[in-house]
Amino acid sequence: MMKNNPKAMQTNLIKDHTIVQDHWITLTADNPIHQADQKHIIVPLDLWKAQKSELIQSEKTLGLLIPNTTELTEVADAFTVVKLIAIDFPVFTDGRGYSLARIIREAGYKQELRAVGDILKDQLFYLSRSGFNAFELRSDQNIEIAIKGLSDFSISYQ
Amino acid sequence: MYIYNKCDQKIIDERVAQFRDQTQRYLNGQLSEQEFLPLRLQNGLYIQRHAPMLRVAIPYGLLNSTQLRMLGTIAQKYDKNYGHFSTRQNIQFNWPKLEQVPNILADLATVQMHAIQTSGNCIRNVTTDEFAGVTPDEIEDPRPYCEIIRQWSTFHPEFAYLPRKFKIAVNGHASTDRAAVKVHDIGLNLVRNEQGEVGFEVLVGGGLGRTPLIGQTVRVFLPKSDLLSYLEAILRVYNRYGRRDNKYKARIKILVKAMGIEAFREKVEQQWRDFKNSNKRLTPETIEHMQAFFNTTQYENIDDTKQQAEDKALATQKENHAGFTHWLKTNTHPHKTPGYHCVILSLKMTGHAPGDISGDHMLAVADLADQYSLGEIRVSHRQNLVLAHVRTLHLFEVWEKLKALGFATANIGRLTDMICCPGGDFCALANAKSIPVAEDIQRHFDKLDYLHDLGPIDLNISGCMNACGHHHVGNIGILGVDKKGREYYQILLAGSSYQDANIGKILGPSFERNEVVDVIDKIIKLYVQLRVADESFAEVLLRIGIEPFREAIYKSNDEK
Ligand code: SF4
Repeated sequence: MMKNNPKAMQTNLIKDHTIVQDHWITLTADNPIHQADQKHIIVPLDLWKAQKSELIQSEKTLGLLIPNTTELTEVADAFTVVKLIAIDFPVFTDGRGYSLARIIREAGYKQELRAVGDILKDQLFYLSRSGFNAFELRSDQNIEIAIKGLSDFSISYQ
Repeated sequence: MYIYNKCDQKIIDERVAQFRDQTQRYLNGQLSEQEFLPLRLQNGLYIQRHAPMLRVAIPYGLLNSTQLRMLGTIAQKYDKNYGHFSTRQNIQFNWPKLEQVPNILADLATVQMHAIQTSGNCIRNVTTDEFAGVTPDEIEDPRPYCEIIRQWSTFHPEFAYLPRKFKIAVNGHASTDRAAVKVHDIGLNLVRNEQGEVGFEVLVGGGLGRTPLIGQTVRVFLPKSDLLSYLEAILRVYNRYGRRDNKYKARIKILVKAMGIEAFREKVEQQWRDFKNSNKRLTPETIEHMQAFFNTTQYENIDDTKQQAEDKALATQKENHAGFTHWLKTNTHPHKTPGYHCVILSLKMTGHAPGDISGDHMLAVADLADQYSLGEIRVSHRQNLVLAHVRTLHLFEVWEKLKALGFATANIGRLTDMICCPGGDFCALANAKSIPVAEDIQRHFDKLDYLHDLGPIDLNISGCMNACGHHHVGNIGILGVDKKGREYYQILLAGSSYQDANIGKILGPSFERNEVVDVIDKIIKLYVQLRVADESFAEVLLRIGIEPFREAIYKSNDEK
C-alpha cells in the first residue's frame, strides 16, 4: 500500500508501530488559527493559554504542543479537550521529555502522545516505554530503518 | 550471587546486537560522531588519549571465577594483557579496538556481564561494601538491594538522558561505611528504626569533582518496600529540574544545594506520594527471592575442637613468620562465619599502577578463588580484590601463593594502599600524571614496619579536578593541576570517605612533582611527632587541624 502512495513515502511519522501520514498541522505565527484550513491543528502551549475558550469553541480538532519544561498544572485541563499532546525535544540528549511523558500518562491522559523535534531511531524504544505512542522523526532520518528501533528489546525490567 | 534468568540473558544479548548495529552504522557513516557518542557511552566506551577505553560493569563489585577468567581472557585477547580496576568497582580496558568492541561485549554476555551504563548521563553501576554479606557488623546484606536497584536502573527508559551521570551506593552498617555513601548522588544506609524494622536512611547530593559536597539526609527512614518508588521520585525530580546548561553544574548535588534540602525533600515526597500505591512497591516476596541468591550455604561447619586446633596452628605460623603476621593484620577482615576470613589482595605493590592487574594474574586469582574462596572474588572501591571466604586453615597457604603472585603486600589501609586514577598516562582530561607520583610515594615508604607503625592512612591521587581518584576524601589528597602548561600537585589534608565523611582542606600553593614525596614525608614525620599514644593520622588532624602541618611545610620551604 505504501508503495502506491508516493506522498505517504515522505512522511516522518510513526504512530502505534506503523508508518502513517500526518494529518495534523502545527499553528505558528505565519499560520494562525483562522488561516489553518486543516481540521486537525496542534496549538503551541502559549497560544493555548492565551486563547483557550476561542480554541475550544472552534470547529477544529485540537492538539497541544508543549515544551519539555511544562508543569502538569499547566496542561491538566486540556486532557479532556485535546486529542494529541506533542512534547518537544530540543536536542535528543535532553531527557526531560521522558519524565514529562510519564507524568502526563500517570495523570490519566490516554490520547496520542507524540515526540517531536530531535527524534532519532536510537531513542524510540525508550520513548515508547515512557508513554509516547507517536514519533515525528527528524527529517533526515530513514523512517523504514527507524521503526525497527522500536523493537530493539523484547523485554524490560521496569 | 545473582544468577541471570532467561530474561536477563536475553536483554544483554539484544543489547550486544543493538550496539553491533550502532557501531556498524557509525563506521559506515550513517551515524554522526555526535549521535554515536551517547550510544557508545551508554555501553562504556570512551575515546581516550591513546585508544578507546572500555569500562565493564562489575555490579557491586561481585564476580565469580568464570567471570574473572573471562576478564583475564579479554585482557589477553583484545588488550595489552591487563586491566584496571576502578574506584567504582568496575574494570577498564585501555587498548581495545572500536570495531572489536561488539565482540568483546558478546564474549562478556556469555558470562552474564556487560558494559551497560558504565558511562554516559545515566544511572551507573551501583556500588557497595566489599565485605557485604560476610562482615559481622552489618544490619543486613546490602547486595540483594543492589541487585534490585541494578535491574530497576538497567535501561530505565525515563532516566537514560539525565542532566549528568548518577551514582548510587548502598551500605549495610549503621556505624561503618566502606561504600562512601556520603559522596554519592544517592547514598543508602541500611538502618533499624525504633520499631526494630529494617529500612534505609536516604542521603542525597554528595559528590566529588569540581564542587565536592557531602550528601545530606533526605529521609531518615524509608521502608524497604518503598525503595524503588523513592529512588524513582528522586530521579524524576532531578531529571526535570537539574541544570542542563552547564555540565559542571549538572550533578544532583548542585540542584540540592540550590534548592536547599528542605525544598528538595518536599518536591521528592510530593512525587513519591503519587507513586506510593503504584506497582513500584517491592513485595516481601520479591525481596526474599532476591536475598536467596546471596545466601551462601556452602560453609563448612567448624566445631569448637576443630576451631581451636586451627587457631593453634595459625598462632604457630604467626610466630614463625613475621611477614605473615603483618599481612594477617592488614590484609584480612573478619567473617561472620566461624573459621572463615576475608582476604584482601593488594593491587598496590610498589612499581605497579594501583588497581592494575595482568590478564594472566586474573586467571591465577580466579584459580585461587575456586580453590580457597567458594569461587567468588570481589573488587573494592579502594581498587583491591577480596577473597571473602577463606578458611583459617588455608590462610598461610593463601598468603604464600599471593606472595608468589605479588598480591601479598601487607599495606591495606596503610599509606601505600593508595587510590589513584589513571591520570596523564592514559586520560585525555588529565592536568598531570598520577601513576608516577603514586610510585614515588610507594618507593619512599616501602618499609613495612614503618607503614604499620603509622597506622591507617588513606592517600588518594587524582590527575585533575574531576576527582576520579577521590583526592578530596583521602586523609591525604593529591591533585594534579596545570600551571602554565607544567604539571603541579596540590596537597589536601583531613578528608574522609567514611561515616565521618569530610572534604579535605587545601594545604597551600602546589608543588612540582619532585617535591611531592618530600612534602608527604614531612607531613608524616610531623604526625609521628604530634601523635599521643596510638592516635591515628586522622585523629591527630581532627584534634589539631591542618594549621601545624601547613606551617611545617611552607615555613621550611621559605627558608630554603
Ligand atoms: S581525575 Fe582527571 S585525570 Fe584522573 S581519570 Fe579522572 S578525569 Fe582523568
